[in-house]
Amino acid sequence: MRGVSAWLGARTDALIAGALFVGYLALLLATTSSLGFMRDEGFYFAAARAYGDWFALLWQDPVKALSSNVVDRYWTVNHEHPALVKTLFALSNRWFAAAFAQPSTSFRFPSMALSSLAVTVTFLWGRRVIGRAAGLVAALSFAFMPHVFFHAHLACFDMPVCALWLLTSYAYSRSLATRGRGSAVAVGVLFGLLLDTKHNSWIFPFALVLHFALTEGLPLLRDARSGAAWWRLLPLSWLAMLVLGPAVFYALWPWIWHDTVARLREYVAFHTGHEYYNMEFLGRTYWKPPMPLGYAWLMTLATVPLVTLALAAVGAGTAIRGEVRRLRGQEASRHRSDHVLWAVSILASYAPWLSSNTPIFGGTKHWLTAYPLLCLFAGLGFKQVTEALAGRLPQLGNVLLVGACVLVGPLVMTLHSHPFGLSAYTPVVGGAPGAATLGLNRTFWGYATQGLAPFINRSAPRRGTIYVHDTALQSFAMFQEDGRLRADLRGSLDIASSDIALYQHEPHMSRVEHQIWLDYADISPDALVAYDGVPMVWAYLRKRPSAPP
Amino acid sequence: MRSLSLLFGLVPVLGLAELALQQYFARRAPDFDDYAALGPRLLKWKRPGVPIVVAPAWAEPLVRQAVPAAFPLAEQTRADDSGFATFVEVSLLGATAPELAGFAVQRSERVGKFQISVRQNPKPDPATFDFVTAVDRGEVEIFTDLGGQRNPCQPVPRAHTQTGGLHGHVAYPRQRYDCAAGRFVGVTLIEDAAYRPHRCVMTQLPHEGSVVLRFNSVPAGTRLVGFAGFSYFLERDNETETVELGVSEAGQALGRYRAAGARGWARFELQRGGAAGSVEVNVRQLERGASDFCFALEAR
Repeated sequence: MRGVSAWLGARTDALIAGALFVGYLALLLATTSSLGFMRDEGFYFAAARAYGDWFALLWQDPVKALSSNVVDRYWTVNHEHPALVKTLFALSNRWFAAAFAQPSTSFRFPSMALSSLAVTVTFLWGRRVIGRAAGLVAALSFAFMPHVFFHAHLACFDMPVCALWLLTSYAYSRSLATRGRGSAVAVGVLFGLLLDTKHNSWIFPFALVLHFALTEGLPLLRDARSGAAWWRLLPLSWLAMLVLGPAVFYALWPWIWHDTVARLREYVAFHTGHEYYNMEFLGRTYWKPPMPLGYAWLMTLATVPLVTLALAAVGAGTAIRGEVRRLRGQEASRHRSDHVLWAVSILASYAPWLSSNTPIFGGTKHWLTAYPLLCLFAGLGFKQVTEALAGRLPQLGNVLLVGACVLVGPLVMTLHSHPFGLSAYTPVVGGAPGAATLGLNRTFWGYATQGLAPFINRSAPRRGTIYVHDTALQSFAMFQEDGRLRADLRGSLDIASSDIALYQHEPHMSRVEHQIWLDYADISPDALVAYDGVPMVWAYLRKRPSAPP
Repeated sequence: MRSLSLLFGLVPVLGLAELALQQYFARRAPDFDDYAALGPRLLKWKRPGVPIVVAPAWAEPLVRQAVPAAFPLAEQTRADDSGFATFVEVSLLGATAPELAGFAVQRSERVGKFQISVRQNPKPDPATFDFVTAVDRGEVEIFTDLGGQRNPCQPVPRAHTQTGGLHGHVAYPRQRYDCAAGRFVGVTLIEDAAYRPHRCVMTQLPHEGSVVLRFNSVPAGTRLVGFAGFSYFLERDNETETVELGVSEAGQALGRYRAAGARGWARFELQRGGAAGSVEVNVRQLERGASDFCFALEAR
């Protein structure tokens, strides 16, 4: 018994990390079947199927599969985004489809696993810098942000890029501490994977340069002035990132194996000149610059639990106080480098929205990369709060009580937000009703169709046609493949030929509802799905004149 | 340090307060049963020609679903509010409709989580003749006019409705007047700069010449109030004036309005002469390829 206890004691952190990974993954898997499919997921399902077919061909006939025209044929699908995550969707679908009750889960599984990994890494990094309890609070604060929980389900790139950004940052932090070649190689490989995940990765090196400037800039300048070998101060991992990063990126994205320069140019041009989609913010629909500069900040305030932000503010304040002490000649925190890395990562993640030319159409998903780092500051804040309250309660009671107080709200809010995560707003803006009154976006991406599935299945005529509105047809097909919608139905983009017309509300899309009114000669929805009393998606059923007796 | 410690002590309290507020806001808005209970009471307040306004506006689809009879299409898609003397406001969560600010409350009743109020327009400017309804009823003659030569557009009571969907054209109605070269005139809906719907006469214009709508039964009055524009979503980037609408009465020109997409659903006024006669609305392109133009006109 004593042996077991000692074994557990020595592996407590590993057990917590494992429990976080398994627990979060299990929660995501348990809730995925009630979450509809986003517009983009439909496109990524299609891409993953194409890539999966290529892998099957590669297994059967490698020479043919690797020929340039065959590679292009399969990998041209959705080539505006790098391949890593869609490749994972494809392989997961090929290998694990039978393990899940619904085919869609096999596509979503890699994102869920990476999201769970992000929660785990948040704990591990927090454990190392701020202690076990604070690390746990950081990880759970991250896991239970309503928008994080929502995105963690999706076969999309936003949580994967968040996970890889965090993982690469953590590996970088470790490589600075250990100065080992192995850890530098790990950073290089991880950076390649990050590059192959989403274009947020382009900002990552700037964060590291800023971190280096803030932590090693002065010594490097001193060395340079004195003629010492200043370059020895440069992290070895930079070299690895420079060499291995592009190599991994290239190796894992077959689309750029041929016409590499032209295709990379096209990739960069697509994202630097991305079309501006519509997004509602404070009662106004933005579809072209200038975009509101307060968007990212207000949306963060309106969607991240306030207690998490308050803890993060306390944590950031603690780190800043440490910096001030250092500048006054007192001893610096031994975790200063980590604190700076968290801060510059957060800044880098939000930096694009310091420009009024940056699109805002994706809502909070664009800066998810900041959230685990924000939560690490929240963990630091938690540590500070519990230390400040020490002596008023027994140590363990203090930690448990404060931990419960700061986590129960985010937990309840997150579970309550499902499956309307994009529509979830915190009490700061009055929840979903308050946000709707303020004119903050209620829903987008067409995923709320899931809520109307029972009505559609019950009311649509046999072989009926459903106008899908903002739901992609590929997503509609996945609803059917999963058995969520009847297989005899046909998704359509034509209102006039439909038997049921769906409408997912965004102000600029109201014209779609007006078309339905005119075509169906009816302005009263036959079914409506609301979240906390706020209408999200509704449907009209065409009333056909009954046949004469 | 002690005050900092106390301040930090507020953080756990903040966590619990936030949770309590979240529970409050999640349950605060009316649910479907509340809307169902509202229906019969609201119908007692509803009168023809008295539009319903829901505050906050996001709750309107829920009221529409619960009380379809309270929302006639013509009222719901009115040109503007100035023509109506009275409104019924359905208010929830303590909200009031900004468009009814300054409209005095005449009567009010609490129904569950709702407040129903009759609100009086202090300066109603009612229409004596609605040109859009006249087109809907067939009380119009429509022509294409090329260099003075007029060809009638034929009424088609049951064409196939066409809808452009997410990014396409507005709904092309079943009941329409077919003009030459597949172009037509009919009553449809377009949205304004706030993406609210308005019922209007859509004219698909020929590259050359114009479309003329003649109304023979317009009662005498002092002025015409018009509204015109394009689907705002489709044309909001277009600053150029692409269509001109001219109005004449008994052969006398009353005035003209030039429409640009970026202006949205824009209001204009024309003074009428003394004698009543047939009113002609003449619509022509200023630029080739102008989008589906739509107008409403009321004699007031």
